[in-house]
Amino acid sequence: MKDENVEKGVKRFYHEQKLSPEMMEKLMPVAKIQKTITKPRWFASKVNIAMVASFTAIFFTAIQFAYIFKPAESDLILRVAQEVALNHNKQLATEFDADNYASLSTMMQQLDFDLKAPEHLMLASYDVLGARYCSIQGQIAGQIKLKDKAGKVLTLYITKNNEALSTLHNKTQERDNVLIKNWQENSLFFSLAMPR
Amino acid sequence: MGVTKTEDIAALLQSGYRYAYSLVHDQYRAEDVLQEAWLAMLKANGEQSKPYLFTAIRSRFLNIYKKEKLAPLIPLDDITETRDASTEENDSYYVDQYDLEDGLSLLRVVERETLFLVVVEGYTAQEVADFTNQARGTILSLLHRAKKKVRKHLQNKNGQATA
Repeated sequence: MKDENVEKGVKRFYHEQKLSPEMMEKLMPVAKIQKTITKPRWFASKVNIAMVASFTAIFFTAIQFAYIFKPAESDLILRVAQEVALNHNKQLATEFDADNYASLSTMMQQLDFDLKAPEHLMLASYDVLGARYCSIQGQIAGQIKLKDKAGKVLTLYITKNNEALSTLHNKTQERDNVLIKNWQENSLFFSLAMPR
Repeated sequence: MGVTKTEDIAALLQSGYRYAYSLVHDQYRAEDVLQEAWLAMLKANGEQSKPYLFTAIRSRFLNIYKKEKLAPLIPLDDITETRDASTEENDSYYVDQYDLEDGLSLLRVVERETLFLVVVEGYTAQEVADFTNQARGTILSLLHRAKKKVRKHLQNKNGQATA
């Protein structure tokens, strides 16, 4: 067997390895958000009118589609629960180490909302261990690692509230041995993942 | 200037995933490494480009594996390097992908990484040497060894199949 054939096989093997659609869906929106944060002067520069018109058309078409294909509430709760449970069970390392929400808010500059300590009473007794970025339904979110008095690790997700997510207010769901509690406070949506 | 179009970002993420896969040789770990690297890169306002992403992936991989002490290192001596007489005889192009995956898993991480960067990504030995902070001679040697191990593994498998 020639080296050339080994190379062809290796190329083919790696080209067949594909990032899962779920992960692609998670990582793409973060890139778009980054783009708007790092290039805020884009709108002030020489604006290409055709480009703006295209974006506007796409935007309104997307809104129309969103209304036509609006997911049922039951679908949404399942999808959010699946996303939250999956992230919780992965137990990825934190990127920001802090023991309070205010410090995390200062550190997590890419969030498009002010990270605030939840007012929910349940959270008062939990210690903050750190946080990392993640996304919920394509929106950037803060993933806060917490510990309860018994030493159990919980994960709190915070993102901007929207019409769809607000339908999940005060709903709970169990998924993959994780109990998920959703609620909203002012303009934020919270989802708490607790091991069963 | 990094990529900004949606399709370019998707292609960049695919490349990043394949590179992470070449390091960890596991789908889920590769996704984790990519996710961490991607977010860290964006957080640091890194350019959305392949060099930045690959650097971030490499750094994340080294951190994770240093911490977990899981680097699947196989001593060089474990695989004999004797020249196989049948090397030039069987020139059939068909390579079984399962056998190949098996063969790749036998490589040391540095060998697999070098093989990926040169063969799949098309970097030169000098570029890989600069990227991985090693001598060009080392890269050429790693590449030669990696191909030889994979070839030998495939030949052994072919031999078993025809026996």
